[in-house]
Amino acid sequence: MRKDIMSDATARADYIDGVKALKATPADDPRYSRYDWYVLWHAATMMTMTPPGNSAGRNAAHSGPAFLPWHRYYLKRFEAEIAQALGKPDFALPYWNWVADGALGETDQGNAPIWGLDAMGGSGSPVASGPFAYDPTDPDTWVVRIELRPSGLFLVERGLNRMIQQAGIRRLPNTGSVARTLLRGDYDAAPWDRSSLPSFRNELEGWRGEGMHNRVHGFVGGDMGFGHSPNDPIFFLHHCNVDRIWAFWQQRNGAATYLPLDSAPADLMRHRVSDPLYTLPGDPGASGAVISDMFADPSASYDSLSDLADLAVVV
Amino acid sequence: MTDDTHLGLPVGDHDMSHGTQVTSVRSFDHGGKAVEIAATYEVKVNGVARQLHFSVGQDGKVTSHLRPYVAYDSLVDMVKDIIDHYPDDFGPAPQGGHGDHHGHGG
Ligand SMILES: [Cu+2]
Repeated sequence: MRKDIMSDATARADYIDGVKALKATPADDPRYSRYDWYVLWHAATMMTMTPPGNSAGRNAAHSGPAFLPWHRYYLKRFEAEIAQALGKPDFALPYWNWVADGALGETDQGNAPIWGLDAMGGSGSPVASGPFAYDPTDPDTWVVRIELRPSGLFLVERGLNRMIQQAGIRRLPNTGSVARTLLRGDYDAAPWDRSSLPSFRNELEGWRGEGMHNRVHGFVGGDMGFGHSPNDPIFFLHHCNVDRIWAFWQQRNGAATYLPLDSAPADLMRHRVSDPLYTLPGDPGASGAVISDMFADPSASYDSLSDLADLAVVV
Repeated sequence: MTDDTHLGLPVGDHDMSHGTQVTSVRSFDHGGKAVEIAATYEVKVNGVARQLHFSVGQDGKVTSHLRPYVAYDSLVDMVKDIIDHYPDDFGPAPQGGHGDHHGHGG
């Protein structure tokens, strides 16, 4: 069961232990870890424009319909690998309920318990406190290895950067924006990119209105503002909450309300309902998963959707 | 940062395969007429043409996978932001002092 990370000390400890265990597990290419492999996968997906050269900036997992199913697949793979690394088959990814934190005052949002020493720690370049603080003298310290730069993907060695509320975005999405997004009835709409309207996907991704998912990346700042954003372990907790919101929406609207269908034109490659989800060349766990494989059984994974149900009322 | 390694993975369709020029075509109907606005952009920093992986949408806003969670109102804003966030990727650091290296995103 996926739980609110601040509601359960065990879920919190398991998550921190789990990401550190993946950081300590070499990938097939021993220059980086299995954790870093996920960072690489995300960055490579970001670089894969669908179709190549499109003017909307749509890639295999962002600014298009596949945004939600691709990230669901990514989280499932990550969750399963942590469960294995911890030897805890029941391990479930926790989520950061930024919907709840968004209802706090501005100062309290930056000081919320998620940023405490016993949770994700605080800001810094590099981060100076909490479980992901950088200490070059400690061989087990949290080290960033993968960067997406103008000239491609690079192997680096440095601490994690995080700049909560310092990158011009001082507030999380407000509950009014969340409520409006939840009430959207259409999964997505032409032209299937960041200008789509009406589109639940596009509003949740954050290209319309106040900005939902995108705004959370900007609120955290530092590495979270780049294609290598999964370098910050808050990434997976953030996206688990995005997934929870989609699960709630699916429960309301029917699990298989996805668009576009397979009959859509070829330039929607990677975004039609039976298209394969992008993974890295040589992915050792590639399963040939397609978008529609991500529709089943959404809401049963989460401890609670009731806070979303409370918001999703027409007033 | 001098020993950072380019991973050279066969991913993405921008890298190496495209030049530094970005062509944008915006088309729409207005007053019963079909309009097409075509433009080609090239960004030079310190005289060097750079591939910044951007595209210009039908609404004129600019996006780049280098700053993937933002759509910029102008290409000028995007270029400034990318230079600010990748200080080491645009030619040699200024003379006189190594300073402490903060990495990216700071
Ligand atoms: Cu993403």
